[in-house]
Amino acid sequence: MILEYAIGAFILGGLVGLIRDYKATVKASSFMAFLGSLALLWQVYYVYTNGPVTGSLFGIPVRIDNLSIVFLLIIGLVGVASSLFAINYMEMFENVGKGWVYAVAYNTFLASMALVVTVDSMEYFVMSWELMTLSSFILVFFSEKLRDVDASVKYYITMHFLDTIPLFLALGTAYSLVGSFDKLTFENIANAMANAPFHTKAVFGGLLMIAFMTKSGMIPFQFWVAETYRAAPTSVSAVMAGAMEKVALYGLIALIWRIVGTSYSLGLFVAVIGAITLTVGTLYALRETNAKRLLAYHSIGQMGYIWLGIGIGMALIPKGGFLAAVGALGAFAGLFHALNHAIFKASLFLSAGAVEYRTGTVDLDELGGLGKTMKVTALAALFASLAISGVPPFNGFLSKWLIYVSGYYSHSYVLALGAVLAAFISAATLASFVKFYGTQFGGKMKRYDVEEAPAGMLAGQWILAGLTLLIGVFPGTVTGILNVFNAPIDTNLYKIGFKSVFFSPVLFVIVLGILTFGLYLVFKPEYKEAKPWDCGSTQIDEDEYRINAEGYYIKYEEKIGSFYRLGDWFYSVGAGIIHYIVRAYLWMASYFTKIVDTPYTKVESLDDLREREIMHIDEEVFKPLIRFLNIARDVLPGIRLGTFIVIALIVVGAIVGLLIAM
Amino acid sequence: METTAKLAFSFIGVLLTFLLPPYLDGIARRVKARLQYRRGPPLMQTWYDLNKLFNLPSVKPTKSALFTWAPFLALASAVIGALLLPYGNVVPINVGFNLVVFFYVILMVSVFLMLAGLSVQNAFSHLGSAREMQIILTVEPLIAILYGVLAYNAGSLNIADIIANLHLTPSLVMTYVLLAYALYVESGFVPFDIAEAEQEVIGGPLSEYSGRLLGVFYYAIYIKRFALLWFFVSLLVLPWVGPINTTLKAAEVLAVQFLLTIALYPVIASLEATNARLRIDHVVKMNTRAFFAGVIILAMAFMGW
Repeated sequence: MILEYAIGAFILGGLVGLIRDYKATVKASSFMAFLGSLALLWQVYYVYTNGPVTGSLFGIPVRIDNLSIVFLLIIGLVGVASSLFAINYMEMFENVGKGWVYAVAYNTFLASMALVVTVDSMEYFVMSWELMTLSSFILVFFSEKLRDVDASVKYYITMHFLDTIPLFLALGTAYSLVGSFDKLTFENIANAMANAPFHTKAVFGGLLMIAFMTKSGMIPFQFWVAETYRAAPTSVSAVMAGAMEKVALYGLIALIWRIVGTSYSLGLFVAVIGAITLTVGTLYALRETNAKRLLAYHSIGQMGYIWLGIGIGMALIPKGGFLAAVGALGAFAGLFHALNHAIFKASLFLSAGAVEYRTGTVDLDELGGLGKTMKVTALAALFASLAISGVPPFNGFLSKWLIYVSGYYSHSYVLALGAVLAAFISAATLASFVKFYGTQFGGKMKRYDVEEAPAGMLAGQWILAGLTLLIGVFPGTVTGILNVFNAPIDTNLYKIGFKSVFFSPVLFVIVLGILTFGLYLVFKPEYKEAKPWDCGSTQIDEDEYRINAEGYYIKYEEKIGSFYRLGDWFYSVGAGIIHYIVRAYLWMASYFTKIVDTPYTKVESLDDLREREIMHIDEEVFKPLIRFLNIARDVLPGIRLGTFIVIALIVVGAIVGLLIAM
Repeated sequence: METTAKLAFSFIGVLLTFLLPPYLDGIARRVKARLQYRRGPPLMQTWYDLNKLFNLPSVKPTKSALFTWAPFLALASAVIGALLLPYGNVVPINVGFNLVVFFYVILMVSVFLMLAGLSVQNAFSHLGSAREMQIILTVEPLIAILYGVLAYNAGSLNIADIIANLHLTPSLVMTYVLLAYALYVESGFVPFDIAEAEQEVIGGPLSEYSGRLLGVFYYAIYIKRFALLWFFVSLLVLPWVGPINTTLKAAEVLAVQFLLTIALYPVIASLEATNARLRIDHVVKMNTRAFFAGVIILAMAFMGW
């Protein structure tokens, strides 16, 4: 199985951590991750051409079917680009050191995601899932800045309560149905579930639903996303936003839809959650001025689109007939958007990372004028921005358009309204990416006299940015892999369509190209250059002669202020809950740890644990032994040979004496 | 209909798209002048203006290639948008005869306008671009919901199917009214010309443009306005004339479309002449209300009214 090579490469990438030099470690481990991701893509191709693969991977039961390869494709593509990008990017954290932490965590992260979508056992699914959460948590606090550590703790505790606990409970439910950990394959669970009473199904499905909603950042569990993606190194944020969120979608389809089954109301629930999430996430992104937080909120929003599409599928496929076809279209569009979102969102994160690498900031209020010096990055960011905004002929347009079609055709007021919201939010996405692109790359500023990003980083961005256009123009390249639900889409090299609606991106690009070049030749521009008109001012600070990111849509944001206030209230509830959970943990921790040197100091906040030397209760048991060994380590090299021989003789004599005495 | 007739209709469509829009603006200027007891310029005046601009070199305030290419991309998008519509019953460029594609292609004109405005270091063009975006932000949900009504009413998003299957209900009438409003806003006529407001933000995204490039942008905007109007006229006329089987009937329909387009322009012009520009927050408020009206209309459509 090719997956073995991939996992092997990831393990090797982790072992590279043994090299002491920071730069060598991060470069070599990123490169191994790149190779591993390539192997994942090879596996996708193999399964796509030869059919599903089942087998055992180092003893773990694995089944790679047509659904798995969609997600392997996503992980592989994002992994290839981000790892290539990380080879240079991770140099930024040299002062942190600890290259081995990155090497192990990053490779484990990619490997565990690949395992989640391929293993055929609920037990290993949960284990890989936990490995994924743990490794991503380590990567989030990699910079070790105070704010980042807080974000990562919040992330981990959220995941612990809303992901780990429900998943383990669900695992227990599955075990109680099947009766053996060895037989816990998805098929067995599905068979057992078919005969299970309704409340078992509800418990199992409900628990999994909470876990997957949290991981993909659905309302009301979206509060961890923005800070987490901001804190993580950008190449890791790209993988988290591009691939990790999608893994939750795999869970939704493989575990809930396929095992528990679906119904109209369950589908409606998923679709409504999606519609609400896409609205809230994107409108929050609109007012964001930190590039990474902006992208993070858009990840929430775009995941909403995907859930809307999948929800339409879950709701309508059981109905049969024409509506089943519409439902299959919705589910197909959801998966298509998952792939597209992985591509353009990872690309956008990488662009933001390239800007961060050169300028040291991701604050859109500060940035500007980079289009002149970072031309290649700017064009990649433009492509990805147009793609996420759904401008034809980029890939985002196709999947969004199919989601609208399925929503409008659904004969359901709620789903149609979902499609309307999706179309509206498409405008909000455009607004926010006009801002994202305009503030970073538009205009001209003296403040940042920087060079273009290194070649490896550009390659990482362009693998993905190029794909936005390629898939947008030739959707036929991926529709074969993506059509898991056998949607009756009508696709060939020239067009993609459903029933009587179609769009022909190839023709569109040709006509647009001919017209643009033709008109360019007709009205061939001649010009002389001059400075921008500044009302004849002499004292103006040219760098600040612009609108900063905050001021772009301020009037609009004021008008929908009550929406933000409501959202903030929800956010404060979520954050409050997490705060109290942290307090509870600390309370428990205070019984199991003590602060070294000042034994009676209470553990009151996370800072106490971080800033002081802590001794855990288990350490207390072993501490005497460790102390003795430490003394031995320090003393032994200093002993002269004669003394050593005497001590050795005494010890041997004592042992012999004891043996005789017994 | 045989191929020659189709080609002829397509050719007429292309001619209308390229030649008519500046004349329409000429009509509007004449009507506005008459409303103000002036004599007004000749109908060709907008063409003369454009021609003058086309003959002048531009001043370029940035090295950005986007600044140079954006007008051409915008013009190309506007032309494609216009040619996606039916002339008689012939669609000159059929890359996807449906509402969503048409809508996005027209939106691309604004996208390139905004990107062009943001590519220079000028607070006025940035402000204009941001305003343009805010208008789109509020008008797009309205249009989306009206498309929802049309799609539900006719059971398809394909424009040909919509034309064939639309049936008259109260919700449809209200949809027409709101759609007229939405397209009027989208076209950026007074009082919604907030983005390019000459007196406030000296042309908004266009403030750094001059000469030929400015001419190309103006041309793109005229064609976009024409396309939106032609789209509305087609929705107004085609569903009620029955199936178009013969060349003669197609020609008649085309004539009706053409005449109605010409007839509606003076209405637009008189609205422009009698209104003062709104503030951006007023527009946001109005469009939000219109959106909620749209939600009710969609509900009515689903109830079969």
